[in-house]
Amino acid sequence: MPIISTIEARQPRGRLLHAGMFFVLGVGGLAMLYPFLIMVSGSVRTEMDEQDLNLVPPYLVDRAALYRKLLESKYNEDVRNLNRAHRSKTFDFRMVQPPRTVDVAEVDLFEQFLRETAPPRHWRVGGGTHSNKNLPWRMREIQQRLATRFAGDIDAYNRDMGTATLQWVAIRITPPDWINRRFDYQDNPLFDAYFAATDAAPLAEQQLVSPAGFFLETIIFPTYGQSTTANYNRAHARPLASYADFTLPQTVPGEDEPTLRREWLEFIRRDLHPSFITLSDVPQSAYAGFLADRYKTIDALNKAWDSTHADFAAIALPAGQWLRGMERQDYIDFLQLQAPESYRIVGPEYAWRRWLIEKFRTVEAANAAMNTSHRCFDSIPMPIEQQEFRYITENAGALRWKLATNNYRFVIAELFVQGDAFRNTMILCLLAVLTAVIVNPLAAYAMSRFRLRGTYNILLILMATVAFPPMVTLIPKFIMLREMNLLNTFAALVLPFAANGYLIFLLKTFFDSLPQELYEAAAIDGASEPRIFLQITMSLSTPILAVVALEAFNAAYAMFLYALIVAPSPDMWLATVWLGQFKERVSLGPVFAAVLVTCIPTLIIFILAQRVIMRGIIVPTEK
Amino acid sequence: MIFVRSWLVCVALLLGAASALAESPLPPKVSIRVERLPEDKDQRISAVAVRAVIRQFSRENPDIELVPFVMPIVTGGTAADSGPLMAIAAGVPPHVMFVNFRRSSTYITQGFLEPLEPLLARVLSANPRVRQTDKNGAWLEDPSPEEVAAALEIIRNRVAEPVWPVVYRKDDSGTIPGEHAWTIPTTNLVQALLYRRDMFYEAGLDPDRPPRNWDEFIGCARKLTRPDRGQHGYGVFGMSIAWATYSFLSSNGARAVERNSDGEWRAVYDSPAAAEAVRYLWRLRHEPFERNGRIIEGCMQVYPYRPEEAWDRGQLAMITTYVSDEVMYNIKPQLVGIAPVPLSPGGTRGSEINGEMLGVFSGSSPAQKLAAMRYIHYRTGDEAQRIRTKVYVDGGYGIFVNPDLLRKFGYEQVLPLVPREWEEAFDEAMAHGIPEPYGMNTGPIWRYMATPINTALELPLGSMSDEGAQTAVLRLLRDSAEEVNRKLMGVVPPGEMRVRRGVALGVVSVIVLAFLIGMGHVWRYFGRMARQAADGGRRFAATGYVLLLPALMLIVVWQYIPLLGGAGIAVAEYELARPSRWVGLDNFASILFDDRFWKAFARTFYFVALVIGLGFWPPILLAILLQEIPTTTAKYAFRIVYYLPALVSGVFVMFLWRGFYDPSANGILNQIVMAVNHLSPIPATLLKLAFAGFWFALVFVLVRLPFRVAEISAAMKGTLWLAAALLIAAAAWTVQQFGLGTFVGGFHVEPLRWIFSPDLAMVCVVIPMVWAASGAASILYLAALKTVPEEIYEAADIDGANHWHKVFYIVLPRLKFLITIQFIAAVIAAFKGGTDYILALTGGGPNDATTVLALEIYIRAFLDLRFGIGASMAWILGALLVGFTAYQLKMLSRAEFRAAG
Repeated sequence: MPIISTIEARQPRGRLLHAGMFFVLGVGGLAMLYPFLIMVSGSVRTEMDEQDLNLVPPYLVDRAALYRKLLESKYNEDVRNLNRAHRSKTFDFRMVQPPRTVDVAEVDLFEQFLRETAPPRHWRVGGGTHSNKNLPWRMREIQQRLATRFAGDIDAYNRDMGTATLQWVAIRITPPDWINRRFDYQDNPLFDAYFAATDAAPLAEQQLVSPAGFFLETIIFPTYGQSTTANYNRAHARPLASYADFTLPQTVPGEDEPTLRREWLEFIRRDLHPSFITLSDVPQSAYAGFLADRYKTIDALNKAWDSTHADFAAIALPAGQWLRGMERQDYIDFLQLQAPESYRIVGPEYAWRRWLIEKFRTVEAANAAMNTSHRCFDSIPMPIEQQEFRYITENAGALRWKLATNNYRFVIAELFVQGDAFRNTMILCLLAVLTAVIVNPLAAYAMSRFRLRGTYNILLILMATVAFPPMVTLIPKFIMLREMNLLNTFAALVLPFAANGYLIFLLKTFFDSLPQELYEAAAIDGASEPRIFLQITMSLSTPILAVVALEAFNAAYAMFLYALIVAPSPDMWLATVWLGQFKERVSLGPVFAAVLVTCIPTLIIFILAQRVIMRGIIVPTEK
Repeated sequence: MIFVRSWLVCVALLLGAASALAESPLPPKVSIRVERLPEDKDQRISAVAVRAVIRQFSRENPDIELVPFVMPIVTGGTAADSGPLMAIAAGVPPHVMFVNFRRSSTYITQGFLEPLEPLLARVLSANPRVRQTDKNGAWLEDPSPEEVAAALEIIRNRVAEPVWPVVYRKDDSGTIPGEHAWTIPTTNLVQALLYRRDMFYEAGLDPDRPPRNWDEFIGCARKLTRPDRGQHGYGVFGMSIAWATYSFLSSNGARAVERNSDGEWRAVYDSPAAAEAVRYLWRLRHEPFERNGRIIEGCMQVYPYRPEEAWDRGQLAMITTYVSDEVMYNIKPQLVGIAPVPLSPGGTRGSEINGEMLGVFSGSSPAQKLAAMRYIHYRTGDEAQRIRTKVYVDGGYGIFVNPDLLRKFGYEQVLPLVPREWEEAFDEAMAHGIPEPYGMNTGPIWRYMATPINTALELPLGSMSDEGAQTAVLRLLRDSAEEVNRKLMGVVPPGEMRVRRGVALGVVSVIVLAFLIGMGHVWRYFGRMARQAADGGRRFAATGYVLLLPALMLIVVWQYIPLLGGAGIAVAEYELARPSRWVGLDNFASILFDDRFWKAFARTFYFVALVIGLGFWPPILLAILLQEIPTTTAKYAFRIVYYLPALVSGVFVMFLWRGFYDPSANGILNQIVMAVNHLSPIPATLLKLAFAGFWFALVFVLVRLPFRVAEISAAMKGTLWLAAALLIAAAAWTVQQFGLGTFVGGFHVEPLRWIFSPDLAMVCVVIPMVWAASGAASILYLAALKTVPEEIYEAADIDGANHWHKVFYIVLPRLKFLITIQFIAAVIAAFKGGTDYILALTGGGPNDATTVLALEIYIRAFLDLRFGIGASMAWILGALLVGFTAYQLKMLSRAEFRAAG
């Protein structure tokens, strides 16, 4: 406190000045700290909340926020999936409100139903398998399953899949859109792993397809808007208070509801996947006849369907199993010919009601068991929201941990485990530091200890390179490296920066200031030159060598454009180059996590070398 | 000497280790890098189909291994095409190259592509000797002319009629004589209008009746615009605006480039028709219209990212993009409609067509060439088409497949399901197809063309007369077209060329002179030092020189030789695949008359001024303040806080801040800035007044200081008053911009566009640099301050000095030498540097607003492959700095370095 003297500091004026300084430093410090904290807090977030300013992510403390995060993950970051399942009209996961009450009995019954009936694969979609930009946890599990199955041999995987993936962590899947007529998938190892992961997921993390939700999305919302039911009610016989109350009839609506009937049929004939449509009161012979008419011979059919049917009579009418390829196309065409009254939609919501009817017989009994008050079985919805909320209530800790670490696992997988970027950067830093502390002190020692002819001219030659912007030498340097076949090697990254005229100059002046008596004494004792160099010069100069090393480390660690030019091959990417790519394809959270991870080496170096560095701060003063 | 040897061995081992680490053993089979293999996560049916083809190919050709070609993407979007160029330059080229129309000419003239028909003839020939090579890699035999002709016929049959001139043509550089087939297309692409049917419904438009002409288009776009939801009728990505809107220009009869009577390519988009189209775009972007009593400004959005993102979110109703002949688009028919691009007022239409073509890299080994050719042959052949059609049909995408293919492979039953309007849209578009510019050097045409269009969109055309607006837009287009002709096509009249060479000679002489004088000066200075220091003891001189050798060698090899090489390249046209040509001072001549260069030059000064103005003084101030903090705890707390950002090193800082600079209202910084909007009028007014008060107090202090501290140096006085003047100017600008009235009442801050705004972008680059560097830099000043003995301050106290006296008579004089050295170093570093940071943050954008000279050099050299131009620019930059550098060296030679601790 030299400017404000101790005496003055006790007077009001001095106190005021101090207060002012604290204020200025405080405001500045906030400006320093706040972005850093935002980064730390953002690194555990996803697209939904990563731009929020609160420093503690709400999902860590608040259950409603955790609920939203679960939904974001479960519905694969696509709010349309949520809207289908909840029959809601949310624009954004942030706007979802958790259910007010959770009836444990109802959820238990529902989960019992799911366990007992084991819905087929095409009724379920794995949650947490897809993200618009990041790597969700179940996708990571799928990657691990694949890696295990192929024993870590990515080439074997590529051969099997016809892909050209470089790393397991790059594998992604688009979750199946089962209910959409145009969806089909290829049987392959990726889907196998996907199914295995979905089957293993907790029930509450599996989405159930919903024909009613899909109907609203494809037919009702585009025509009547989704903000209110007013337009819908004008056009339909049965008014709705809200779309959440909507149920899709399993069979075609009667003539008394002409609009809904027309829309229902349009939906069946155009949009809904045929695997969700069965026919009642249609004889198998009609289907066999249709197919015989189309294919003439059973061999032609078997070829098109990739099947082994003995004759047309042996082909059963589809009963809700998954249909694919030409079989699906033929069934679609066959459906068009059938009477509306024969169509039946199958799906989880109908199975749930069926199960309740079989279990309770009367709706009163069901109501009593579930503490609900439904008028008839047809209006009983699946208690999906309640199931979800109960799930997060019971598993809050584990979910929070999964959510908070997800970005880091993603980054670490790419940066350390499967990618070379971090390894490359570390090798480069090591080489850069080693060369810098070997080459530069040697030259400085030579000029300080031996009075060579033209020392200063040589020194100038070494230093004058600072006069030329790196851009002048960059282009020819690049061409030289190219001709020497050194592109994409560590040599290209290390050698051009190994010797630094400024550092040599710095070291020389520092060596000059070491007491000459020591050298004389050593010479008298008969110490060899290497001994003098190592035991006197170098050991007395640890702080400044630390500075040289640190400078080399920093330059190598943050090398970007140059590395991009001389070592662009992916196996030579540095962490900087990798992150430059990474940030383009992921959302903010993982970028923050990655930046924070890259701070760790700097922090370690700083902590280790702090004392030496502080002593080694070189202040130039005028001679 | 043993000692020397062991150290040298050490160094050699190190270097050996370095290069050995990068080597990897060659795999036994032929491995080729293929550009644009579908990404694994791409589950679109088109990618699935290509993978099925590749799987089949790999099964049939187990001796070929396909490796995906991956290149770092440089931020900024404009450089999307440069990946393969950089890779070729860097020696990791793709063997199967992806070629679009625009790239094709550059690739052919630079000699990157191999003529395909002889190669295909080799692959197909019955004579195995045409596929074998001798030890030197020369073919043993060539295929017969008949075989070559047959191969050409095969290629011809695979190419659509309008695309054939792009595929089969001369090498414009004349290196390989005759016409050749250079590529084979895998898909034809044509630009069409895609619209969201659901949004049409919602806006009360008929989803089965897309806009047919410009009037209908603007009408629809307006109805589809909902500012309250951030929803727009039409949108493009700013960087690729020229490409996305080319169909508007070409529909109106304008063309980007055309071949003149001499068969040379010229930019011709400075036509009145083009200007009309751009003015139409301006109307879309800015023309106000009224809905429900609200005035809305414009119905088109220019996004800083690909518009597909907004489209997927349901915030964008119409885009113009490519659809392919094979599969219309990865779309849902309930959701998306396809229509031809709207007709111009003259009733004409021109949809841009393009193709995804594959070629063989000429620098591959013979075995790789044959493998690449086999791959391309298979990939574009019947079998591949059959596999793909099967995948589409099986996958339920049969209705999206070109009906011709369905017929060809026996899927008649799918035919009736294909929506008529799609096929029509495609046929219509193909019939009026305008190929994407494919002429000589037209590669970066969209990048250049985007500038006048983006600039025109920001002009106040609404307040101009019809004629005035037309002239203004036309002028922009003309300037840009001339620039393109000059720069890309190299058109300069001979008379002018002579003048330019003269000027170039003058400038080069000045550069040489500057270097000679600057360096000569320092040389003499160092010589004098040597005489002063000489004390004769010349012991073990030989050992000394040997010890010096590694450093000297490294610096000579990696600095001086490239320096000479740089001089050589500056006077040559260096080409990667061909021998370079001596061009004298022409490179200098062309850049000195290049607007782009001078703009980058000016921006460099702006950047330096910002770096110094915002970044140089905070560490000094910080050090002085930290020195004053009385309690130890507070001292350490503040130091940790200020040092914290230094943990984020180098460009990582930029990656971090890029996240903060989101231009939407939800962006992190925008939320912070806009938080003041929540203040009610009275606190807001108080805050504003407090801020204004603080501002003027600062000005008052700065103006008055020199009077209070009498014997202040003139330079210091000037600096202080300059700072005061700048503060006043800033205040005056604010008042002039917003009026005095804004000082009362609540805030109405709109979201800032940060790095996407040309005005703000440069400041946005500097802020993170200041953030990261201030704390760490202040440590140096703190260390220097510690060397000032307490007694001096005490003596000053006794003499009755006040605080200002102590700052100006003790602190600053003590720091003066350090500050000067740091200042020069900072200026030089700012002139030279910033490239890494800018590249990581903005990539030079938006609209080149952050392209400083160093970055421009990088772009011209490594992205445009004009190494000669880049090297010449670098020399001019060097000459600019030589004075500073000489001064710096002189200062350093006078300095003594002490460890502070």
